[in-house]
Amino acid sequence: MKPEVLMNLGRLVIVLGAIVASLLLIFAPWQPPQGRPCTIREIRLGLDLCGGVTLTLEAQIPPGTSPEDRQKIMDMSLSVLETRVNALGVTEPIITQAGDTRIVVQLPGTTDPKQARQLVGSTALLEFRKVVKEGPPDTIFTEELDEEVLMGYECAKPDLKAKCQAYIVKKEPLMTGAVLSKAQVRFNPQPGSGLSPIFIELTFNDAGAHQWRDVIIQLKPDADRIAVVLDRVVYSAPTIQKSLYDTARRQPKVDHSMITGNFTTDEARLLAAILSAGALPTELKIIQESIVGPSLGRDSIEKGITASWIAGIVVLVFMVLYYRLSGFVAVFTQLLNILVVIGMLAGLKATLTLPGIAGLILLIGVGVDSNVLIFERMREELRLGKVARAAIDAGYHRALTTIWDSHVTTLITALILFIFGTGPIRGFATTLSLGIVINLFTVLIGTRLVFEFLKLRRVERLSI
Amino acid sequence: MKDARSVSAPIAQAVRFFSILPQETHIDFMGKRFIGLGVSAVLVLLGIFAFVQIWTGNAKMGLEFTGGTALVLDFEQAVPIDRARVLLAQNGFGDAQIQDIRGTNQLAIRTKLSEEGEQVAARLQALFERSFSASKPRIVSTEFIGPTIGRELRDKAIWAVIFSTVGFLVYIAFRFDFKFGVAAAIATFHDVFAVLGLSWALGMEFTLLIITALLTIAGYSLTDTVVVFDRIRENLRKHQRDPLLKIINDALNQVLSRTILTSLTTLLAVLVLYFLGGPVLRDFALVLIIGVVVGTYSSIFVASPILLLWRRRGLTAQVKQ
Repeated sequence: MKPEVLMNLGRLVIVLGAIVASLLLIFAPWQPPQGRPCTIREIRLGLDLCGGVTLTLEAQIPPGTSPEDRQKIMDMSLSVLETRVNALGVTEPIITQAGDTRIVVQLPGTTDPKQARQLVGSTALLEFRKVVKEGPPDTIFTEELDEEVLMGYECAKPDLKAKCQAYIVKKEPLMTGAVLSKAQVRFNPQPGSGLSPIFIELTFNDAGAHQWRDVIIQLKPDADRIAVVLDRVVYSAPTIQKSLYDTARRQPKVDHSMITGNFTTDEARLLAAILSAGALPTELKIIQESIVGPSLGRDSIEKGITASWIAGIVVLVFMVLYYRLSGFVAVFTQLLNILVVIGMLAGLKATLTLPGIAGLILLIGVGVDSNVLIFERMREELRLGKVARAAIDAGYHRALTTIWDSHVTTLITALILFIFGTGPIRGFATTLSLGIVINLFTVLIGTRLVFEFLKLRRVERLSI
Repeated sequence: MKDARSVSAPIAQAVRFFSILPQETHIDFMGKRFIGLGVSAVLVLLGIFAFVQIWTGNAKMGLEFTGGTALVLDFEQAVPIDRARVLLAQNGFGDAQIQDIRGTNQLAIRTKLSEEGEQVAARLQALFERSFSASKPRIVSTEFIGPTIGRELRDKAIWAVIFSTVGFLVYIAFRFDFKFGVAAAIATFHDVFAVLGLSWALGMEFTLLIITALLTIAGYSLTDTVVVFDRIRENLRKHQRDPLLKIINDALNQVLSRTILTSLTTLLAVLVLYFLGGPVLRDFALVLIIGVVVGTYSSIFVASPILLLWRRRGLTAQVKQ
């Protein structure tokens, strides 16, 4: 086969792959079909469209705290919660302070109230403590003054009760999670090797890496154990391996550690989100929990959705009227575009609000720009007297530099907004970056594919 | 089989398109640049004034920026939420958000009016009592709520915008030339400030959604500017001897059909949202309508004249090959 044909086959495979992947992400046929409120297949609907769960939290602030200090604690709690709940900015929660010491958190959907409670309710105080002794939960321990008994993570799980252990640990932590820079879920590449299949990788900041190294070298290798304690529950208690000990002796710092345990993927994800956001400065007690309906009236929702449909259709019809056959190329590109964007949003577990839907439509309005650039350039080439095939090639390639530069410029802007922004700004940046990358993809691969197809037909006239 | 390439194309037929513009335009955009700069100066000043008003808290801001009062009303006989919405909208609580609490006869209401929360609650209670006499409303709780977009988030957003501006400026400087980067940055800020000023002059309430619209416009305008610059760069390489004024004019005329078409398709979409989208999307769409118009204007009358103001000196030689 000619390389040209191979390239086109490759493009076809990629486009079909993107369509299938998006449909899978949106419809997730492996998930149970119903039973989850506020979702259409894998797409989550926002508080404005469907409502969700409201949790009222009371900060446990010691009496006698000055109002300024109290407000500082509240501000910090709000920002930790925001990071936990809305790391990518696409969850669309409402988090506000109410009164002096309360926080109201509204989360869209009500998929799992228990997860919601854990997500906002845990203090997330991470500690590394030295293990003195370990035994079954009913052991009667005699602990020293500087020691205490903590229970294992499995003890609170009915299905893991058999693995429940109690630990005597030192009261004074060797190190705390304040030096953590991030926590990520990792999967063990070799299942069955005796290691836990899912673990959470902890990365320390510079100070933390030094501290962690100092902690390791003061312990006895292959003998001493460190308990990883989160909110006074022992998640794992690994022995310090000789190899780790030797590494620590040779190096000024050790910047990684991990938490293993009997988690499910969802539990590990939740835990990583909680750890990454850092500890709350105070305990937040859940004092009320209720399920609320949508914040928009049915009438507003219907109008907004209908208008979005019409807007999308109007743009596509315009493209066909103006560019005739080539207009259908634009329609194909934009439908592909929007399908992949929705697929990615479903994959990111993003929440769709009414303005979000309008934004998707806007993506079509702006997205046709790339098609317009290509078509106008092709028309220019035709005016210069080129035959259809040559005009397709020249027009496409000339337009590509422009499309590339304009997309990369906006993408850089969006990525920096993502890095430095928080909450809704970050959400905007996430969707914008997705939109740009996917649009670039559909133009480079999708539009090209259709024109290559037109060329195969040995066109003599280009309907543009 | 015949080779397609050997077939001579019927050129005369092929070049007749359905077009809203004459095939080639020769509009002297740059000759009118001083009128453009004058209009822009006014728009930007208006925008800066509006920005200061917002910063100092003197503009109309949405619930997410101001905070307000949250109350829960309990009814002996359930009030249909759609009717409750209508009632509040008709009585000056147009921006109130109402949600029903599932499994109860309670309504949770958040409103911007925060002066004396107790009073707001009592007023709402009286309102429901009058309109739904059988409902017997009772105040379950009322409290002040803080803004969802706090100061920290706002400060971070400002820094994010500054850093991202530096980011695209560096990229454009690398791909084009430093002057192009600065001109693009000025044009983008021009658009955001102009739209901000006009929206403020229209008495719009600034909500998070409006801020999102402004960011969208920044992205739209940046794309528009880069497209024009790209053509200027191409022409600079092709026609090195032409005066810069002609090069820019030619480039603007060459991309004019694209500029108008893209603006038109975007405008079509936002006009539909404006007229049919209902109250939630109306202001959002209006800001975007203004933004598309201003963005189109600025890619012609703001970004390019700045290049010209910088004079021709050395520009051709410096543009990256």
